[in-house]
Amino acid sequence: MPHQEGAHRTAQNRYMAESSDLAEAIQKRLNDLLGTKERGVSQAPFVVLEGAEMPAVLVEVAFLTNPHEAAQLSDSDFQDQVAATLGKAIMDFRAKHDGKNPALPTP
Amino acid sequence: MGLLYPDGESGLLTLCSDELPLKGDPVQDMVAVLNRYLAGPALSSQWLPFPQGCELRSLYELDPHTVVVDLTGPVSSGGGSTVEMARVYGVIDTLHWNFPHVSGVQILVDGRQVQTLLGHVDVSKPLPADPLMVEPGLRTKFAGLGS
Repeated sequence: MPHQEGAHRTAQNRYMAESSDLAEAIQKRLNDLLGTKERGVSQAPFVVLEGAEMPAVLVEVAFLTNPHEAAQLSDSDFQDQVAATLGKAIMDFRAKHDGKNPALPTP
Repeated sequence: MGLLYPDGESGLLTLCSDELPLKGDPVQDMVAVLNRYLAGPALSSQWLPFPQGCELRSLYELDPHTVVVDLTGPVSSGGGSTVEMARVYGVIDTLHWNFPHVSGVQILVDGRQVQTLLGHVDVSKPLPADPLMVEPGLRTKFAGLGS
């Protein structure tokens, strides 16, 4: 879009493509784990990601306003499953990007 | 005139057409569009991403392409990141849809800059319109506006 000179730009923009890839990898893995509907990947200047000089994403695993999901979130087995799933997604991302971007941190 | 409200199913912004008469003065017309927006959607499949009682306090141009939207009321209550993104980009994308020369929007609350409305999206500076927040069928047209 034209005339965006005055609009907000953050360090996230430098890694936008990589961040989007990472988000999609996480979304895919979480959909497989949770059986949730694809809600797509959104991009916005999230304050919690500002200053991250690397691909960065915000993951919202479940809704606390949903009683079933709130109960899941407090279950340690579920927490372990989510953590393992996020780890697998990060490895998916690494496998796709290894060697393509030397600026990415090594594990 | 088109108003972009989130869809109940996907949360993406979908179009609701309205016959609001515009006068040809951009600022006055933007005020009219946002006041109509805050009244809520006519379609039952859409929802207003603002709580009841939110109003437009003022609107003015910062430069020819950047508009300041000053809101008042419970703008910073009720909802998580999905609601927040719909709230922020519902306003920004609706303005860009109707006034394509507007490519950046600074949101204020009660005349003051705020970091976020609900804790996630940084609105401390002007934000550009975002085609990815509108439903896929509108994106090509949306992305070509103003070019």
